[in-house]
Amino acid sequence: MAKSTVGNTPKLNMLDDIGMILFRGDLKSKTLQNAIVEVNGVKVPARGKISTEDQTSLAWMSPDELLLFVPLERVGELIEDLNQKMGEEDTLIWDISDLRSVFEIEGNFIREVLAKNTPIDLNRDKMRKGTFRRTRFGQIAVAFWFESETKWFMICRRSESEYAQRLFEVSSIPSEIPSIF
Amino acid sequence: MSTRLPNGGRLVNRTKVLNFRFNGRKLKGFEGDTVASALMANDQKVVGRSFKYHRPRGIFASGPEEPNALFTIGKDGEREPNQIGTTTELAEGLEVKSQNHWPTLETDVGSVANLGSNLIPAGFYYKTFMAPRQAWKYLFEPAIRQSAGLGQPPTEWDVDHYEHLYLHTDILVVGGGVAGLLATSLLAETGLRILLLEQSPNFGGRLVQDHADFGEGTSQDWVNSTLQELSSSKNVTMRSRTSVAGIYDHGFVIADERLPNTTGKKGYLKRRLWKIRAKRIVLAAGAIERPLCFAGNDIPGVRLASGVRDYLINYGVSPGDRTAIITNNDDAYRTAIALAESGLSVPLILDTRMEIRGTLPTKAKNLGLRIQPARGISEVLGKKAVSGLEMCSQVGEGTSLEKIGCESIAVSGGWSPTVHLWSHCNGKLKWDETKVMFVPDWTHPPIDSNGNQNIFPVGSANGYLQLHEITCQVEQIVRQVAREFDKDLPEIQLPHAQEITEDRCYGTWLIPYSMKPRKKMKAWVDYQNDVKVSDIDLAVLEGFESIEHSKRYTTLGMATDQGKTSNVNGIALVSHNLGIPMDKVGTTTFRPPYSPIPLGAIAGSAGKKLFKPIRKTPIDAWHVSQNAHWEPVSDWRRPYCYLLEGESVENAVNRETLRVRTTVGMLDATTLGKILVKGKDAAKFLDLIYTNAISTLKPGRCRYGLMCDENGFLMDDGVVARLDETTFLCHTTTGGADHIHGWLEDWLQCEWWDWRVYTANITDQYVQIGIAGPEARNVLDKIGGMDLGDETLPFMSWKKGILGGHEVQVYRISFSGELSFEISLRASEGLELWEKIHEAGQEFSIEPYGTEALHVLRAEKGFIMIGDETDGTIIPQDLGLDWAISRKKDDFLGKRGQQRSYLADPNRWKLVGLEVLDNDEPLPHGVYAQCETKSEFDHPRMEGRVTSTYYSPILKRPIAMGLVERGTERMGEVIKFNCGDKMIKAKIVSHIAYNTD
Amino acid sequence: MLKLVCPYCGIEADETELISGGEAHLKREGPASTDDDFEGYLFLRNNPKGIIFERWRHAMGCGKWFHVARCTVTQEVFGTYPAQTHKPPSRIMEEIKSRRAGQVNGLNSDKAEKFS
Repeated sequence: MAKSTVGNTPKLNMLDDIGMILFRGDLKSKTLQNAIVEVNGVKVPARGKISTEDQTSLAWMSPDELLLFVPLERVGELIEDLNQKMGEEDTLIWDISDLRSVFEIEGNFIREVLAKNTPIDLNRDKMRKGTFRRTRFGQIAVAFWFESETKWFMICRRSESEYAQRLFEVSSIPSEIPSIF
Repeated sequence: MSTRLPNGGRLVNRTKVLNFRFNGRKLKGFEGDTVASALMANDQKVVGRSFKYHRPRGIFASGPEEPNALFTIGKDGEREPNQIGTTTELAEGLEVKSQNHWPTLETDVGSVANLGSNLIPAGFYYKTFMAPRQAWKYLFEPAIRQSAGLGQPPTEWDVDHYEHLYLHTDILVVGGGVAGLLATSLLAETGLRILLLEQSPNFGGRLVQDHADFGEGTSQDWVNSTLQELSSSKNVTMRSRTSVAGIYDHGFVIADERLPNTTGKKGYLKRRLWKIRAKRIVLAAGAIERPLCFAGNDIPGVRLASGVRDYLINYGVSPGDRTAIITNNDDAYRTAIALAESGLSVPLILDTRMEIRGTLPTKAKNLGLRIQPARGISEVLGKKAVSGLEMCSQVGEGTSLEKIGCESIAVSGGWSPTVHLWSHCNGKLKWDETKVMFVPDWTHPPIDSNGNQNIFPVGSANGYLQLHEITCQVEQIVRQVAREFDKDLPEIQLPHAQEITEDRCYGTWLIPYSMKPRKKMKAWVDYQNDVKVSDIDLAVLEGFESIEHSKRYTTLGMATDQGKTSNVNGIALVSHNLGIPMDKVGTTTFRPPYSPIPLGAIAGSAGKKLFKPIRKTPIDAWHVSQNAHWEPVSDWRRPYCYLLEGESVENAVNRETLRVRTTVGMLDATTLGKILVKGKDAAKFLDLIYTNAISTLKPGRCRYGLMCDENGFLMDDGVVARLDETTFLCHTTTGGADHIHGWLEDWLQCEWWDWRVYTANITDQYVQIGIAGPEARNVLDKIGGMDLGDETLPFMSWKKGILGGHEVQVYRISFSGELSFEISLRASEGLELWEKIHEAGQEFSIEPYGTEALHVLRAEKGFIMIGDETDGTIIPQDLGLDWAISRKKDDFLGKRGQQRSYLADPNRWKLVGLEVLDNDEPLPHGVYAQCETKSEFDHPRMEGRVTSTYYSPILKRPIAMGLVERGTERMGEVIKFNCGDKMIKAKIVSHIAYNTD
Repeated sequence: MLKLVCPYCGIEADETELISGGEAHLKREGPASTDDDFEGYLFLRNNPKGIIFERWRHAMGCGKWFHVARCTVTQEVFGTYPAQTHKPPSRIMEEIKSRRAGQVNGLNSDKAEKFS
């Protein structure tokens, strides 16, 4: 039942130089959907999802908000493009590359470590690849998604990064991880 | 003498000896022992003193129902008080201490309370400590506090770790006894996700010690093979040592896992608190045996019959050479048989029933044991240990018929299903007259969010005590549970259970039936809280007839064991006294936790450095390097001031304040909230949010604005900058950012949802650096890149540019009255520019300043601070901010509220400056001004209070602001502030103290 | 510990991811309102032993406010719906009616009556 969890426990690394763009607008609008595809080469993700192509990921934040992960050096140009393509349509597009920290989590038992601090259903059939889940990690607001079982991502507010790192650290002590997923 | 038998003990490993200490005495036990079983094996009769009378108490039970054996375990940073000895596993080097006695367990001064126990009846405290009033505070309370309580709380930091763990499951099975194991193995077939939790270290519950055979072989074989099968099921998670503490709404369950310290090192993960969401819960929590009420039933050596059997079979511990049994049911005969088969003596079985015919009594008789029907115990002999008993007729008044010598008495008053968890979430109970127990009432079950039953009791938790009944009943119920998930269980062969004929348990609540009052004062109902039969009689006599009232009056069932062994007996005695049926008496409310959970487990990892998230700015490390003295501001930490070598906080604040007034200072203002508001309707929206007009603001300009709630009370303030025609940047207070962002979103989402406005809280995107002082512009000019002259950047305007190679926005605003700029740039570049400014500023003697200097500077200029001048009941008009309230706007949030007569009252307290007459003595913060006249309640009338008070180094005197009744009309008047030990006089002056032009 | 489906995200959110906001469907009373109407808007709230329509914000999620029909006695939830409405949608009212049919009337609040 319980395999040993010692060894290869997950590590949290902060990723630098990720460009992030806040995009608020009516996600159902054709203009918006076209603008997003044309500028980013990625379609507007479905509710609660994240879509990725090459170096660009689009995350569904709310019914009228997307979070764009793009190469940092392209942020200015992309915002200009998006604003232009959106034309008269209501929108709020802003460079927020410094607003949040992006963490990469690598290793085994990532679900177990996260389950110590978040109330969401992390069972494999519920938290699946492509899911972008906003929730809390301990006492702070975060979002999770993953590329593979051993490679996940987490974002949180920049000012709360140290808390996130410390909480992750105490939650991933090798001998203290239960194997449950 | 209780002692270890030469053989037996299915749970202990006799090859592994564990050394431990009890009250300093070195003792030995075996691996697999509990603290209680090891103490019994070492003949430790008295293990603690009772709560109220300090009576000597021994180990009474073998599970979490134990009322007496509470210990302090461990020492220093590992110390935990009130640990239950019967559920605490023995470990090498364990320090065990008994509680609630002084100076020693054997000689306890507090036991004088016992001599006067008839003087401390139910309600004693209520009646005795009523008067005189002063005596409570100075005499009674300190004395009671000294003697009350169980173990002492630790004083050191806990060295061990705790954590939480969330798990979502389809089905949670509570209890790993025969019913829980069978239910899990049946359900495992469905592929549903199942979590099985067992409170003890071992699965099997009472199956093995009570039944030799089950299924195709021995009961132990069945347990082993079932566990084997389950551990290979991918969809089943099993945990032992995990006690379900509470079931809450919508299938939320809390369970407390005790982790063994496998390495023996300090600082290990001690407890894990499971937070479970279960769609359905199968409750296989078993049943708890009840004691019987007879005189002397709390003397060490009297134990539950099931407990005696457990110690004998599970741990190989003899309760004493001679054990007398008293029972009202057949189950206790299992104990008699087990004792006899172990070679110990059972001198007598007292059965309160008239006729005894079942399979088990017959077997006992065949073993040659003496069975006495219709007999009870008149009194137990012995003081700190049982030495014998007096037998009497159950139906009589207690005349002694015969004296029997014994060291141990095994008691069984029947069984109570463990219905606590069923009841936590509103499941109702019904009294089953035939089974003599409260059982779950399936017509009033706990329900989930859809209104469907979500807890399904099985086995003895559902009132079925016979093994063959349990198996059938588990299958039936589990089928129903599976069907709720659209799963059908296949037809299966249930494990075979031998059918045993048992006679009915007989509800015997008093032994003997006509117990004399004197004996009732020695017959305990609740051991842990020292409630006796006489106390319940008295409560009912005094009119506390509702069980909820008599419970509180007597404290029955209110101890840490939550009345696991005492509740039903207590209810029965109330029923007996009132002459009404059990059903009509009802039950008290079971509340979580089922068993106590340590505070550490509840806190989880949220202790010490993780107690609260501490938000830090990108310049935080620099502040550390400059010896910052910190102040928490909401979740952020900000430098209060920066201490030079050997400098006091006070001097540092004065130095920083003067620096800004005379040359230049720099401030990390990153924490100020920054909210973007954009859209075609943004200006219209902000006109409603702020009390002043925002729509008239020109792009490139800034305006100070106020936000009120619908009451009209001032909520937040800050500078709004118009970025372009449709975009605004609203600055909020540090603590207000999240709240104000939520407030804006609330109105946009729930009231004006068709308006075209988007908002975003972008606080963390930027570092904001405040540069203030006469030399501020010179410092920035030296860095270069932007023209910050009065013409290009007048007061209350902003512009974009490149400063020292960084893209920045510069805001020309001031919170100090000095020339001041706020520079905002992306957070990742913030520290770099901060350091450049600090370096460039050296020739102008630039210094960083903290929040306290900021406060002094703003107070000198009479600027208000949200949270100082406001407290949620202050309107802007109170603060002389009428100029910031638009008269032209038809509406804004708070406008209607401010129209109310109370808020328009001319007698309201208004913001003024306060100048103390004696210059050396500053006004304390928050003190009230007192009039000569009295209020309608005959208290001195108050006419004002101090809201801000500081020492102004530039004015070289204390300054203060306060709210005073009609204050603005009373300039020059002297009022008196009540400062506790003295009155301080202050003159009402302008709230602007410095540079009043 | 409630578990509510955020109608925007379509996921079950834990109570600890949410912030409660009191009674739903209040009508704002502005500067022209009478004292009585303003008092009702600002202070007078239903506290039914039974069904309540209330506001919740998915604070640790999409940040949106939504409404919930919940029984304060049994914690049953009859549904959640977006906040951009002046009254509960008919599917919610039907769910309440179907589950409360034949039951004690006392569980139905005045407001439930009003909206039905």
